[in-house]
This record gives sequence, structure tokens and C-alpha cells, in this order.
Amino acid sequence: MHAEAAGVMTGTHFLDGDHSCCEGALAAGARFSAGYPITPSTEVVERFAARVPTVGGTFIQMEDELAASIAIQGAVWGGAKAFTVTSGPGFSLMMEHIGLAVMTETPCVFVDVQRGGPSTGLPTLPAQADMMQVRWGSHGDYEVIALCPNSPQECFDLTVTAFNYAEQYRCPVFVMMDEVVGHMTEKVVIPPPEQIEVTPRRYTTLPPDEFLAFHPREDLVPDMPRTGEGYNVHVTGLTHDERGYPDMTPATQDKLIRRLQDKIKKNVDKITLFEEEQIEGAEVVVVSYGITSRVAQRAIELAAKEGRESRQVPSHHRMALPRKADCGNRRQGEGNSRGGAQPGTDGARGRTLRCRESNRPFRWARRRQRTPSGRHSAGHHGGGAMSELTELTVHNPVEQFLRMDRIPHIWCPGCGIGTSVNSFAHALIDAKIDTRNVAIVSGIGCTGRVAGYVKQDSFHTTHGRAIPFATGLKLANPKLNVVVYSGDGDLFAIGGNHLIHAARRNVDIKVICINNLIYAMTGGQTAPTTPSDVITSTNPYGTYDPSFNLPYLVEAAGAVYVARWTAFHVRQLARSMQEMFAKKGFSFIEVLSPCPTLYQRRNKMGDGLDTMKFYKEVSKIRNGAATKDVALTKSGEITVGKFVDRERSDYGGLMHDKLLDSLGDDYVETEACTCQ
Amino acid sequence: MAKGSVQIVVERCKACGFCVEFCPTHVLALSSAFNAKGYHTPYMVHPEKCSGCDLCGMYCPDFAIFGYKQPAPPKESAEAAAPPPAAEAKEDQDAR
Repeated sequence: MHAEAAGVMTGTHFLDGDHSCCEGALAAGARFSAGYPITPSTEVVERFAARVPTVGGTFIQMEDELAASIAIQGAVWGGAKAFTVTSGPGFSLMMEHIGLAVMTETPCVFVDVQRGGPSTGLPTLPAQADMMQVRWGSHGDYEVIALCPNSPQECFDLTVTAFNYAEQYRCPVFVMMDEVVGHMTEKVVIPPPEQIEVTPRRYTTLPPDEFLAFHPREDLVPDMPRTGEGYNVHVTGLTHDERGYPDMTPATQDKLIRRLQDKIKKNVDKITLFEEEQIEGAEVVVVSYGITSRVAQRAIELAAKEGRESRQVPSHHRMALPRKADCGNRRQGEGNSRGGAQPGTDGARGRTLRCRESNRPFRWARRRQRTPSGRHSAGHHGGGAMSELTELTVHNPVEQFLRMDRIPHIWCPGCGIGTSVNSFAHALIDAKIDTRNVAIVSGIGCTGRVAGYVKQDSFHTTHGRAIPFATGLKLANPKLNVVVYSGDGDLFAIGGNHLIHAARRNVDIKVICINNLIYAMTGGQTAPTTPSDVITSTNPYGTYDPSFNLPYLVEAAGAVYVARWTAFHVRQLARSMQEMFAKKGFSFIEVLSPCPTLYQRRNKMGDGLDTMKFYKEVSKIRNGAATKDVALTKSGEITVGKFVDRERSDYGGLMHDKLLDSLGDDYVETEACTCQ
Repeated sequence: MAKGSVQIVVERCKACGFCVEFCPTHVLALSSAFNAKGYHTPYMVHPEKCSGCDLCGMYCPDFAIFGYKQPAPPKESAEAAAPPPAAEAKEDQDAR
């Protein structure tokens, strides 16, 4: 299909590479960008920030590159075409989210205007070494596509191509400019929209009950669902099966990773772009890409002029990285299509898996005994097998919001996370909202697994980055009710910066923080919420780190709704969650939860039930209490209640009002799911 | 005649005891029987007291139990929900 006319600035222009790249993104249909300033790339988003409100899109300046590189992925799942722009040090910070985009098959574009390094290096001078980082920077085995423009014109052309490749192959695509290309000003011709080919997002046409989120078509690429339309997909960075459900088996890993690689490797010839000049009969062939290709061109001309070179020399301008990897394989394993695996790539993985498979006795055996339907009527309690069954005529109302095919869950006996999910499900029932529009975003950790059990559109992101993902999702698709459900370590340690900035902006997201006072999934290390004198695996003689008072911090950062309950206060918690759905702006509920395995056992605090009884005993409900007075101690009183409930314009409202005021009729509001 | 009852999915239960402890009318106790995972699961030791408030369901972290209001159950199901012999109930309490 052709480009949407609104985004295309047809004509002949005198533009630098950064600005030209921005025009390419707009022409390709990009309507969302999140960025963080860094030389020499910032001009791309500066122009985007000025242009996009007039074509119906959003730019948000995030708190760092980690946030920017995942906010765009939230926006993609919200329905937008999205990209981020950075350079050297910022690109280093984005590495984890390259892996996330590969694993979750999120079509997005990263623009890297390369500069000299390592570290701060040469902020205003060019380099090309980030090409290695694109290929190898994120952990694990993956294939991506990178394009290298050598002129402002190519910055436009290849940015359009990058968005098209991203949609076609559902992977992150990189536009690898450098400082010279970015800051060089030349003639750029932008064709009329009908001459710009744009690849639309391939959405599924199947109804939700027939749709498998990661079931590929013949081209090995799965169709995308639309968020908020009842597909209830689960998207996770964990190894997952075709339903999107986490599955930690070698067979699933093998199948998934092979497909993620093959969908690109098998199309290398279609993806790779290059130009050949005077290659016929040449004795020496110069292969180059990016700005170097123009330098090489000059060298070739000089050589020819001096008469020393009678041979003809071509210049390759662009290169897609898979071609390079592919060549490497072929050279090492001549005549053998599977030979010559490169260290650290799928070859290494293949070896590991083969070892596993040959060691049959050590394979995991799965034994599950189930009674025929697993259900048991109320009256049976004797010492024998519980096999007598009663046909259920009533159903647990909570189950409609759970992925029952994933239950039983992984949480320990006596953990309070499941209890909080009951309250959440009751809040969904009582809030009387269209639950198809409720999207759950989680980070990593025990609570991070909530996204995998709740039957909504749910996103299990990276550690600490649930909030910027949610920010992108909400801004790209304002009709969604976005809930962040995560743990204290995820939200306040690794993700602490994102939380305070989302509260400052008053982004309309609802944050439920399950606070078990420790890092549980990793084995009981000290968290920023662990009270003094508690024994943890990293403070074996007792903690001495001062801890955060979460409601105080969140209120100070600007949240409009702040409450705290414990897993004991199930009904109050459900009511609070319901109130949160009615609230516009950054809302926060802290839920104290027992962690019998990793917090209590080391501290001889009994089991989950003992902690629940403790909550019952020491909790005092003080609605409206000053948050500075509600800090927690190891065994002291717990103040619970609704502490803050105030009004303040949310980020979407502030943005709308300012842009309307400044742009008047030129302002085009962001609509939900406008992606072509 | 009890106003409500509970349904238990034995296989999901991890015997945390939340439902037994926080049932406002003390309907439940943990059984001496094991489920397949080796947990003692709850049963209704005083079914006649159940109000169907579903507080057990709200507390259950494993989605294994829930309460519901009982409109007018047929006679045989009322018999099925009859209280167990006192001795056995006591044994169950000890087992906890």
C-alpha cells in the first residue's frame, strides 16, 4: 500500500541526515517515538516532536534510553508504528530491549547515529563500531536487520525500508547512520505518497477463540492481534509456545529460536540491499557501507586517475548484517549447509541441546496425577483418595479473568500474590468497565508472573521496565485501561526512575505493587523495601540499608491516588482497585504480601498464615493518613488505608491542551489503533 | 438449612489455611486426606453455618475454593453436605 499523504513532505529539500530520517519515519507511518537526548542523534526526534502532532501521533521524552527503547514497544502493541533514536552510550543502554523485541516479535525501528567510543568517546565525531553491537549486543541467539545509509537521501529511503522490513519480518530493524551522515546537509527528494510503498501491519483476521498469538504463517511470521479487542494475548520475553505461554523446555526453545532466526536467514537475499558499480572484470573489489562507501569511492577514483589501477573497482553501499553472518557460515562449511557454526550463535545452542537430548536419563520427567475432572465436592474429607466428583453448577467468578489452562500457578503455598489477584478480578467485575480494554503489564519477579495468569491482553516485559512499556501502550492507544502489576524490587529498585517519572507526568496508568519486602524469585536478597534487621541472603547478619516508604515516595512524585492494603484486607483492596479504575492519572496501591519461603523462613516468622494473622493483628486503617508517617518496620504497626485521592490533569490531557493551544486547527489528536 | 456452600478444587489447593482461618462462620477445616501434591485440603466441617459470603474465595491464593449463595438446593445435596462425624472432624483439626 502507499504512504498516508498526511505524513509525507513531498518535494525537493535541503536536509541533513537526521531530519531526513525523521521524514522517512513519518512517511513510513511512524506515529510514536520515545527518545532521550544524545548527540548526534537528537535532531531526529526534535523534528519529530514538532511534526507529529500535526499528523496525529505522539512524541514523549523519556527519562533514559532504557525507557525509550521499551516505550516504543508498548506503543507498537498499542497499535502504532514506533521508533526510537539514539547514539553510542544510549545504544548500549538499549541492548536488553533489542532482545525483548526479537523475542516478542515486536516490529519497531531503532535509529543509531553512531559516534566514537568506547564510553562517552567522541560525541560529535563519527564512528561505525556500533554495527558489532547491533549484531551481538543483546544476549542470546538472534538475527536482526540493519541498514546503513550513506547520504541524507538514503536516510529517508532506508528509514522507510526499515519500517517496512520491521512489519514484514516482525523484528527490530536498525538504521545505522553515523555523525557525518546525520549532520551532512544535501539535496533530498521526497516522492509523492503514491510512490512510497509502505508495508501495513499484518493483523489477524481470525476470531479470538481461534487465534494463537505466535503461530507462524508459511513465511514463519505470525500475524499480530489488536490489543483491546478481546484476543487476551500473552506476550512475554520468556521462551514461549505458540499460545505465547512460557514453556521452559528444550524443545520449545529450539523450535522458537530456530524460527526467529530462520524468518530472517531464509530471506537474506530479499533483505540485503547493495549496489554494484563496475564490478565486471575487476581484480580488486572494495566492499564498504555507510559513509565509508563515499570515502572509498573517492579513493577508487584517485587510484584510477593515478593509473596505477587498471582494474575496475566497485563500491557496495549498504549491507544487511544477516548476509555477513551467512557468508561466514558458508565459507567455513563449504558444501555443507549446516557446517561451520559461529561461536555463540545457534551452533553453540545446537550443541547444548543435542547434549541434553542424548542424555535421556537426565531429561525432566513430568508426572502429573489428576482426578478425572480435578473437582471435588464440599463434603468429602475422609482419609481415602478424593475421587468422588460433583458436577459444578456454579463457577468461581474469578475464573473468567484467569488463564485456567495455566493454573496451578508457580507461587508458593501461603504467598499473597494469588490473593491479590482475587481482589483484582472482583474489582474488574465491580468496576463495570469494558474489560477487553484492560491491559496488564508486568515486570520480572514473582509478581511479574501475574501477567501470565490474568486473562487479559498481558505483557510480561523486562525487569523494571513495566512502567515505560505501559506508558507507550497508553499513549499510543488512549482507550486502554493500562494496569501495571509488579513487585517492590521491580518497581522501586531497577525500575525506580521510571516510576517517579511516570508519577511526575501523571500518566494515566494504574500501578499495583505487591510488596513482599524482598527479592523473592532470585532467592531472598535485600530489596529497597526490606526493613532494618531482617536477615536476607545478601545481608546474612541483618539489613542495615534504610528502606523506602513507598506511599510517601509516590505521593511526593505526584500520584493522584495512593493506598496501601495487605493481603489480609481483600475486600478493601478490591474496593481500592475499583476506585483506581475510575481515577484518571497515575494511581498506586501497595499491597503487603507474605513471602513464606524467602522472607519469613530466614527470619523465623512462620508461614504465610502466620503473616496474615500478623497483618490482621497489627494493621490500623487510617484513611487520609500523612504518608510520611506510614513507613514500615519489621514488626511494628502497619498503617493501611487510602492516603491520597486528588485531582490533577493527566499527561494525555496536558499534552492535548498544550498542543491544541499552540497549534489550533493544525493539531491532530491521537486516535486509538491508527496504525496502517 | 445453610444459606450458602463452597466448592473446592482439591488439586489446586496448597493448604495455606487462609480459608480455614478467615472464614467468618468457621465452616472449614483441613482434611486428613492428601491431594496429589501431598497437601491436606479443606472441607466443610460445619456446612450448616456457611453463608456463601465467598471470603474463602477472596483469600484463596490458588483459586481452589469459592463460596456461593445457595437458593433452594434439592434434598439429596443437603444430605451430601451433612456434617461429618465429630471424631473425624477432631482428627482433622489435629492433623493441621
